[in-house]
Amino acid sequence: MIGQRLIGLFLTPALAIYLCLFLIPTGCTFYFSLFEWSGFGSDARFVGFGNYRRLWNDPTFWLSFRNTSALLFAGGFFVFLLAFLYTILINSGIWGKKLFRLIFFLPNVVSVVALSAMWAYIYNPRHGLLNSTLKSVGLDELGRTLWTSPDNIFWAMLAALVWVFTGFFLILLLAGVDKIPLDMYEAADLEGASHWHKFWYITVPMIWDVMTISFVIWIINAVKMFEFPFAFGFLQVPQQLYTLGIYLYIMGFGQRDPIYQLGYATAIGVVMLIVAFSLILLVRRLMRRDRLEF
Amino acid sequence: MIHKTLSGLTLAASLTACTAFADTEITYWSFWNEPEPQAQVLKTLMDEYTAANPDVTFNVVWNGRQNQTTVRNALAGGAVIDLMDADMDGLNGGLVGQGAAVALDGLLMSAYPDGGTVGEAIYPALLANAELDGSVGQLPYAFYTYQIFYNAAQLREAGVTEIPSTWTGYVDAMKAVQASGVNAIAVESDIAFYNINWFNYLLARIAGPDFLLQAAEDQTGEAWRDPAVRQALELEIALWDDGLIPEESRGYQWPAGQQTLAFGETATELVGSWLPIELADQVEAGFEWGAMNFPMVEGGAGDVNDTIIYAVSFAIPDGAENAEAAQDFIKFALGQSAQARMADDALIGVANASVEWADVIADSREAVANATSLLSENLGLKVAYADYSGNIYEAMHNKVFLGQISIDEFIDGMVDQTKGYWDNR
Repeated sequence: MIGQRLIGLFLTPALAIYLCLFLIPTGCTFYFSLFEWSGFGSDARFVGFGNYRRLWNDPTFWLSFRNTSALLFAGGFFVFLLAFLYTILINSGIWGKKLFRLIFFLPNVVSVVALSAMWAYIYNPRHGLLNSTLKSVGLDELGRTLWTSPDNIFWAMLAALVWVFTGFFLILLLAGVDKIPLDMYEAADLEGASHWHKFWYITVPMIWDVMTISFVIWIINAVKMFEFPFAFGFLQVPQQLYTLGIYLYIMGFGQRDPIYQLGYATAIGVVMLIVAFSLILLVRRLMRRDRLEF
Repeated sequence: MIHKTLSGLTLAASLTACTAFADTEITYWSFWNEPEPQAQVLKTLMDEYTAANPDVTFNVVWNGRQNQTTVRNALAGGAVIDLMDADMDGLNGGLVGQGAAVALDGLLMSAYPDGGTVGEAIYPALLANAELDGSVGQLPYAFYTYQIFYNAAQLREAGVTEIPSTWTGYVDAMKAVQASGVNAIAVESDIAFYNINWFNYLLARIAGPDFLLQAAEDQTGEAWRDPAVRQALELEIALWDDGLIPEESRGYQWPAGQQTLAFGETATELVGSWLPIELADQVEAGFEWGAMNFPMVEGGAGDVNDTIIYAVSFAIPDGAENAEAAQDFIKFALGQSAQARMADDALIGVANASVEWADVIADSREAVANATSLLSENLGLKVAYADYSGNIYEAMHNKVFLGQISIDEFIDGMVDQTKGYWDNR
């Protein structure tokens, strides 16, 4: 009994901080989403669920929602496809495992602004690295593609984003793989298992928990994605790159336009929270399995 | 050098007349980033003001372009700010428009020792833009003009000896430039607020500067079916069709387009008067800058001398503890000497009409001096309906300008979205 009280006592500061810095602000966010409020002064007009009704009929919100969904699902597909692929390759006993790990993780330690400037150079229609390379290998037609034109800019940004995030999730997956006892792979080798069989029947089940947490982290990242597309847009983010996070920022804080609709922006924030929370619950339910102990 | 010395002497003379304030620290949140030349000039001005008024010091926070948003959040958190600056349209749609700024009408009447008042010193057309609902809550001190900037040598080499004032003359001139082996017009595909100026100007020249706001305020959206809209779109799309804007510009991300001017590959760009300064380190020595007014469309209802501007203003938030001292500093910063320093050292257009501008933007000053009206960005739409301006108008225009949708799709889209906007308010 004393032990439980003591635990409660030790937990209190953490709970108080969590309450003050997360739960109460979250509650306040929902509260402010019921108001029309510019943020200048305290004059706010109660509009009930009016902001949510506006969101429902706002084409720019749905555009941002579609972009965020594309980022979440298409981006997530390629991020994890590549992360798993590299996991297999790096874990296959190749030389320089740590070096490759470092190379893949490197984009995560570079400033987002620097990365977006680099990708702008890569995609430059005239002198860019990508088109120059394509032309130099004889792919002239492809080398004339305008990667950052309005039709292509979202997918160009997504490709760069996949490159950035793959390294992060690769590190997570590799950390999980490193904890798998080597004798399992040795036993599989003795049985003549291929790399694919070892990956599918040993690696995947043994890192299931790591995969679950990786998916959860990706969902959170994707739903609130802001920095990279924002930096990729340079002076003014083209609407083709709007995510829910960017639209929230534009409506609440303006970019070049004095929009200042803080109540409306908080409604977008509430929707983002609900979407992220629902998806996390769904993933955790779908990936629920008996715990493996080894 | 002589000019600067004279400026300094005049400055000292004007400062001796400054009002005394006891033990005052003006908290100033700035629109500029500290390394920018405009910030450096302001720092010098503050130092000089303090030298003349030893009891007045400054506590400066260099916030950069998101200053108004930062000020808003700080004010909501209880911070006290005596002086801030932001872009004029932003202030009219934000702090001033929301009634959260001190009225500066009285300051306009304040006299300088060498004659004239603050209000008389500022370009009347610029001051008119600062006015909102019959009152002035901000005072502009620097501004940029949106014009067609060009490489004068390339235009000469192409045989363009006279700057065109009509659309037909302009297109012919650009065709001559193209024929001389240089691309005629640079654009940045991703900067919608640059590209929208083609349409803003064309609409203003064809149907007058008030048309756009009226179209946006038509709750049925049908005003977008006006023939002026189609004509403006057809004229700007023809620039692409005629090859005057290179096709690959559709993929240019800023600053790729303007760099083609610096490298001598393109002759002109419709942009703000910050361009010569931005490219100062990239153009060759002796690069001859020129800026022409946006041409008049034959038969149009507009005025070729109307010029769109982007101005930066001082404002004093409500609740400022040192509002009087802040106003005195604004008066000082708008004085002839301080403004001359801003014009010379920061190479920016200044509000004081008696001050010459730097050579690279001399054409811009001429345009301002001759302007019938100085028009705000998006012809007032940005102030009146900022969300419509950014999320619908600029976004839709960039699609049609860059060929993602057709003219008909743009018109139908604007009708639908305008109606939807008003239904959803």
